[in-house]
Amino acid sequence: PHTHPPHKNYTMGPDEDLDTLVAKRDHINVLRYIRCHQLREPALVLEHGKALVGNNLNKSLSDETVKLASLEQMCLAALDVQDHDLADRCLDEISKSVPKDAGRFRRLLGRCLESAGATDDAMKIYDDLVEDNPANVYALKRKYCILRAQPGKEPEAMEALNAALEQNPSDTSSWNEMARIRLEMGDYKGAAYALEEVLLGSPLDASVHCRLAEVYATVGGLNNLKLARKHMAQSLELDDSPSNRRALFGLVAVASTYIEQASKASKKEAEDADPEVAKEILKYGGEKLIKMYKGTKLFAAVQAVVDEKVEYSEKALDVPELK
Amino acid sequence: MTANEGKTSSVVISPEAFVGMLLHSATHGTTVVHGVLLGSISKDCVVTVDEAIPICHEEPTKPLIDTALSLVQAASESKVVGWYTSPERLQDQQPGPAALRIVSSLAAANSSGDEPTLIVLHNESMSQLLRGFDPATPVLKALGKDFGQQWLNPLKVSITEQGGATSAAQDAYKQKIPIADLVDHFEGSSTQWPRNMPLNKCVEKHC
Repeated sequence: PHTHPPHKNYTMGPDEDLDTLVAKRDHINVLRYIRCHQLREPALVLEHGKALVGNNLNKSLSDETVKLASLEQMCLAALDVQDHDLADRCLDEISKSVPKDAGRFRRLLGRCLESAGATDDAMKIYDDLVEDNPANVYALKRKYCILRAQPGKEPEAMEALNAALEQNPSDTSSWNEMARIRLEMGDYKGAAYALEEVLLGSPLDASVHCRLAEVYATVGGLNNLKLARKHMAQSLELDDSPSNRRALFGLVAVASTYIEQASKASKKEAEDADPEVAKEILKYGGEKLIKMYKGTKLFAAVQAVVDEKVEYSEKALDVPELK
Repeated sequence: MTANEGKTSSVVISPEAFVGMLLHSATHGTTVVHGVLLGSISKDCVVTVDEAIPICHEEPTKPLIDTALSLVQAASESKVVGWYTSPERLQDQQPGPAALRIVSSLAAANSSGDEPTLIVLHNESMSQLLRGFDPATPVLKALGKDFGQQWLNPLKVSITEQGGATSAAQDAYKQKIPIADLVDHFEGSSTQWPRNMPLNKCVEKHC
């Protein structure tokens, strides 16, 4: 069974879910669904793609553009499972109807070269595409991907990603990627900055609020922990279902850390601190967790964790600076 | 040197922990994975890793780790003896800054002065092993604290019942036994966290 979290921004996908489409052997719509939801399912793509265009890829379809789109999708899926032979055959079949200097064809060729390890040749194609059109964000992103795949090339990769962002400063997926690479490098401040940009593009996405909160809490300091509290609370307001329990645990964790920091703060910092509020947040989150886990295997563990944190916060707040 | 203080002499990994780490990493071939190690530390500083509890398949943040450690310690009697990670890129063999920070803070939080160990998986070797081949280089390495206060000192490591552990890993991989880490549990309330019954059964069969 395919249990994917619902993709929040897709458009024009088929109405039915993937399992139904697969069971119905509705090949065209299986491929469409996977494309629209940006899922990574190479095995499915290849199975249904081959059923659609034949093992020799030469079955003709009533709609030529559907066939070309399917071949392109199959080519990328073949690269994903390292079947370079099939990828080459897809390229050959596509080139029967498409001129080899077409931008989209060159992009696909670039991907094939990347996958085969011919990164210099792939770079050349992307450099050419950027020269033809400096705003070719796709090519700029592929350049970034080539660098990112090589250990030790983080600074160059960062530069390439910045180049893509310069052309398209509101591209959420690029900011998302920036956040990822910053996190990988341990640059939590940079990751927070990038996630704030992601948030601008998706202000109602509960998971972005949760991630941003976690990153602020990792940077640390009372101000950041307060921001962390705020974003965790916002995440829960947007999604208080059990599938967002990460934010519920997160709320308890950041409130607890806030109290810990406040209890160690200097007199001046303690003036602006509101640890009593944090304590209430902690209790609120804890109660919701206990309710959520009642009757489940982890109930005892969750209760123990909540009790420990609440007890700690009582002790920590019993400090002269905070009275 | 007093008992249980100072450098780890060697690391012994149980079959369950070995299979658990490999399968967690293999399940998430395109991202980094992280998890916590449970076990015991002897008086002569041998770290025995009994269990490897998978935590996440993304870069971890402080609240996630705090929650993970609290839950794991509340759900288990065993002691936290270290952390494991598997790098994102195939050829990458070093732990990232997050893993190094985590194991360092585990040491700082440790009132007994015990030294936690950091296990780093070797993706290329692991991939060969799981597909039935005999890898030329070890599938993982264990790191202890070095004189620069970093966890980059390679330690002697052994796997208990290595033959059985290897077959169990290959079998589990072939069967595609689902591995749920803490983040999976958060998102889908999987019941196979922290302990994975189907995986443990598979290990029992081979060891």
